Amino acid sequence: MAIVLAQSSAKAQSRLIDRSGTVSFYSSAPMEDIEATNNSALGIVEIPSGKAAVSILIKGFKFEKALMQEHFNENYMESDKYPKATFSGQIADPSMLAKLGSFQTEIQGQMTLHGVTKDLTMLCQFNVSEKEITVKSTFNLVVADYDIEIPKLVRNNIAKEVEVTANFKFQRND
Amino acid sequence: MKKILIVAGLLVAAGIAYGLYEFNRTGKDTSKKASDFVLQATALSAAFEMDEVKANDEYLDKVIEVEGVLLSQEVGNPTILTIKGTDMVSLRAELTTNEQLETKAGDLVRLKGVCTGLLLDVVLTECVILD
Repeated sequence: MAIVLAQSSAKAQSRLIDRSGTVSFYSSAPMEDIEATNNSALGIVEIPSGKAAVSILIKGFKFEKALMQEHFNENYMESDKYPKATFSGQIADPSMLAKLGSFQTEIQGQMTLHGVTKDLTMLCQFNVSEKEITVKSTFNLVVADYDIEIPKLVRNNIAKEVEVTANFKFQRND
Repeated sequence: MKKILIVAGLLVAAGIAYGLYEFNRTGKDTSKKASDFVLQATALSAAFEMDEVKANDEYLDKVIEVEGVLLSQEVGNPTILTIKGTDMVSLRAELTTNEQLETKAGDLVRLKGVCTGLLLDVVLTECVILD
């Protein structure tokens, strides 16, 4: 989806791209907290329409412990079968992008993860300057919504929801 | 009977030690991993541009040694290099450090990393620079 948005043509639209977005997730569990970060998330924002897209390679999430990373990819996310997570949505109030300063607005769209597509609305903090636009959002994902099965043996040690934090910085060319 | 108990105890201790080792194991340094493939950055990019599914089957999660022309470097945590691929698809290499390379844009660079797939660029993570 992000690729389509990146390559589609629309003369009046300015497309800002960040190839170095950071997406991390955190889950607090009785046995151990689980945390991983991906430093190569692709983010695209179209101005003035306010269309937004994100694409992430699942194997790009790095964990402190190798065993966790292996379980994440092989047992839970099946990243050979579903190598990407994508989000495509619309900024609720894109007119704010034309003004300098900070503001909060929602982005509503659809997230595809583990082959399952669900509606997702996230509250985002925007910071607009003449040189760049930064976007930060923190939201929760329910693991079961995306058909990610947790083996019974470790079910009590893994949280049912994970907190996701995304940070993007778009250099302006508009 | 005493011998059996000692052997059983040793086996349990070895099992616990192995379990703890596995649980706490961190990722292996890429420089110590054997390369699964050695190829030019242009060839890797072309493979993904031509057939992403086939390239994923071949290269995903593999340790790949590539050589290519440095287009830019983004110093940060980690430092990220963009290496020339095809006209449409470049190579994006995340280093394991936040160092600034002395290598300049236009120079040849050789590195080894783990392929995680294609976004706009082919992405290699855990990269180390090779001499």
